[in-house]
Parts: sequence; C-alpha cells; structure tokens
Amino acid sequence: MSRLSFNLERRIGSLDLAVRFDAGERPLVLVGPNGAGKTTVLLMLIGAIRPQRGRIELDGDVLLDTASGIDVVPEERGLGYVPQDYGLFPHLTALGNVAFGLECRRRLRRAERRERALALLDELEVGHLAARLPGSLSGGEGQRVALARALASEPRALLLDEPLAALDASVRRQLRDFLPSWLATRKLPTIVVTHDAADAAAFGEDIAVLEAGRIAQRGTLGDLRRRPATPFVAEWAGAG
Amino acid sequence: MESHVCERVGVARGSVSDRTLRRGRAAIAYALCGLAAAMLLAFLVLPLVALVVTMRPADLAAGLRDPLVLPALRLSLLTTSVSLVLVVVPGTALAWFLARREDAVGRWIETAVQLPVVIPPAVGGLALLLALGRKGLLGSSLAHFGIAIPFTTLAVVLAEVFVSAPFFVIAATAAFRRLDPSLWIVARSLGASPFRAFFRVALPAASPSLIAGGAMSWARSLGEFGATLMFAGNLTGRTQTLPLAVYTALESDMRAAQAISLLLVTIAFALLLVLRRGAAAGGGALGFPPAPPRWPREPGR
Repeated sequence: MSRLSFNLERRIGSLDLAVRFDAGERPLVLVGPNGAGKTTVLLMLIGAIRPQRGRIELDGDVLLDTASGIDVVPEERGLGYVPQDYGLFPHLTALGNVAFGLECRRRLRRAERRERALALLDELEVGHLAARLPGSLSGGEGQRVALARALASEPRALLLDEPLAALDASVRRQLRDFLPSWLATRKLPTIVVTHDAADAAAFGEDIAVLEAGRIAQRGTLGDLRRRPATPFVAEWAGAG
Repeated sequence: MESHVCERVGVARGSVSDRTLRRGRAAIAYALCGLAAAMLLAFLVLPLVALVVTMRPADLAAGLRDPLVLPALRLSLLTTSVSLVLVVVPGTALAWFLARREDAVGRWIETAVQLPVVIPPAVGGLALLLALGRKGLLGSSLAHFGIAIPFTTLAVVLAEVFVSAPFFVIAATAAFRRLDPSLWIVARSLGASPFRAFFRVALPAASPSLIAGGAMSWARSLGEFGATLMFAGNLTGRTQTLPLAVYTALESDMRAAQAISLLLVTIAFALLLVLRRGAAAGGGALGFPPAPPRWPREPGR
C-alpha cells in the first residue's frame, strides 16, 4: 500500500513551521487559517522550497532527508501538483498541457502521446475541450484539465491546493461530488488543501488542522466538531 | 433624496449663483486642460505631417534614387539584424537571471543595464571609444592582435547593441516577472528539467512580451545616430546607416534626406501597428492567469 509520510521544519518570516504526518489511500485534508503554512507544506513536498530540517518518504523511497543530504529534484519526485490557479501553460492547448505531462516522463511516439492525453481528458470529462487554450476555459474546466495533466506524468501521490476555491457555487457542488469519488478510484496518496469545511468533509474523514505552522488537531469532521482543540477548530468545524 | 445625495458629495450648499459660478470655473479648467493636451498632440503630429505633405511623389522617387540611399539601407538592415541577435540571445539569459533575483546585487545590475537609456547617445559613443578605441581600456590590448574596432561596421553593430539592449532586457525582465510562478513549479513536478521548463514553458509563455521588447530594441537600433557617429564615423557603405545618411544628405540633397526620413518613419509606423495587433492578440488568446509578482528562485536557495 502506497504511503506518503513526512516531517518538515522551516522558519519563513515570522512563521515557524513544523509538521509531521502521512497520507495513505484516504485523502488527507489539510485545513487552516490564511498564513498557517498550508501551501508552504505542499511546496516543500514538491521541492520548490527546501525545509531547514526534514524527511519525506514515498512508498519507502526517501525524497528528502536533510540529515543525510538527500534532496531529490522536483522532476524526479513523482508528485502530481495542481496549484490553486491550476497553473495551466497559457501557450499550449488543453491537449498540449496534458501531453506535456506525458512527454517528460517517457518516450512515446507523438500519435500515442496524443491518444493518451485525449483518454485522460475524456476520463475527466473534458475531452471536447482538447483544442482550447487555457484562457478560454472556465474555472471548472481548467481544474479538470490540470488534474488530467497531473495524472499524465503518472505521479505516485497527488497534491491539490484549494481545488474547489476558485469555482462558482454550481460547478463547485458538481466537482465536490466528482473529485472525491474519482480520487477514490485512483488510490493515490493525496493531500488536499482547503479552507472550507463542506469541501473538507466531501474529501474524507482524515482532516488535519494547521495553525501557525503546527498541526493543532487531526481527526474526522465529527471529532473536530465534538472536541475542538482550539478556538479556530471550533469555529471552523462549526462546533456546538 | 436629491438634496441628500448632493450633500454627501459636498456640493450644492449655498446659493444658486454660487453653484453657477463653480460650474463655470470647472468648465474653464476643463477647457484649459483640453487645450493644453490638444497643443501637445498637435506639436507631436505636426512635424510628421510636414515630413509627408511637403514631399511630392516625384521628389520621393528621385530622393530614393540618391546614391547614398541603397548602401545605407543595406547597412542598416545588416547591422540592426546582427545587433538584434546579439541583444536578444544573451539579453534573454540576463533577463531571466534578473527576474529571479530579488537582492541588492540584482537591483544594481538592473540599474546598470538601464543606464544606456538615460545617458546621451553621444556620450555612449565616446565611452565606447574610450573602452574599445585604439588607446582604449580594452582596445589597446586588441590592437596588439591587430584588431581595430572603431570606424568599422562592427563598431556600428556595437553602438547599436549598446543603446538598444536595455530596451529588450527591461521588457524581458518584466515579462519573466509577470509569469505565474506556479507554471514553473508545475512544469518541474511533471518531470521537466530546469532546462526543459525554461524552453518549453517560461520562454513561450513570455514570448509575446519578448517579441514586443525585441521590436522596440530593433527600432532603437535602426534610429541610432549619436553613438554611431562618435564610435563608427560616417563612411558610406561601411558605417553610414540610414540616420547618418539623412544627416549627410541634408547638406547636398534635401529630397534624399526627406525620402530616407519617410522610409524610416514608414518602417517605425508599420512596426507600431504590428506591435499593437500583437499586444491585442497576446492579451486575448494567451490570457495570462492572474499572477503573483515574483518568479520563485531555485528550490530552497
């Protein structure tokens, strides 16, 4: 069974970040107030920011270990990342974006690449948008293309930053149904960052609350509601 | 209701005549501002109009047949093409470097790069002579190997690079800074090496602005006069570019000077139109996502 586990420490400005946890087949939902360090955790996992001390392990492979000087470069970590604004390459079509994920990892013939990219777009129900440029896609469409692209590189774990935040209500409800069930079929260790309680509940049982750089509490939404460890948790989970 | 609104915006206290007076003053102020703006606009357009309307087609044809024109045109196209390449290739690398540095060193380099924009071109030409001239800082060493740069076509190219490079580097640095940093992170996470992420993602995503910067830089090269005259001289066929040919023709044949000028204006105007269309297309079709202002540095450094 695949597993992503890590502990990371870094001081950024006034934020003293120190987190330790792991994600298995159930998505780990990371919540917390603005500036708590949620996105920073994802960037450290990806390798865009280096922690002062820490260790990241994925399926037994060490991706980072500051103690022994191991620091695998981002392109070899095998982590699929979907940033909050999706980070679609503006000069490539939806198909081109997905094909980019395919071409970096393996040597495929052009026709084969195209076929696979189309299959991935179809899986996320956006095959009909293959020829469109990102600038002409709606939020929900962009999100699906970005997910297809992340999958194209055959990641061993997925990191999603606020996947539902930028969407209007109806698309958001739709993706809130689709995304968690789709993730369940993929069985990848997944970390989902969100600030919304309803979104968090949709993604699963395993919720970790990050406050001022520390994990304040971890549990199901029910646990957090019944026994909130901090005022933030109480307010966020809607206790009482 | 109405009086309530008026009170909130702070007018309409006082008598009717007060209000009329205030309105009258505002109208006069508007009129004066409009007049000033119109005068500046007229002043900017008038010389160009004069350049066009005072020339009969027959004079234009005769002017363009002047023996000065063809060598100058050929030399201008050659030197500006070479200088464009010499600016764009290293300039892109420098801009990428500057866009990713946020420290004092980066800011100093940026200021140094911008200097040639504000110093007078003639001073730039003199500085080039002092650096690369026969007795110059570097030129004296070059002279040992029998290399003399001043008053050659190479000197024309170097003068053009000197004055035009800042335009490209400034535009390219801004373009790279505007890119969404997550594009870079995503590209890397998808398996792209830094090299691949640059050439397949950063460079093409920034290319509309890079092309615009390159065009501005080329236009500056094409119009370059002062530094060229100081550093390369005014030798027909070797260092006499179109602007220098205008200067030379002015003494012998006004028609030729005017014809060359028209040629330069036409090229500049065409370039401006192409750039405007490019900017419109770039903004629409490529539609950059809302971007944080900075591009991240290499992982953790």
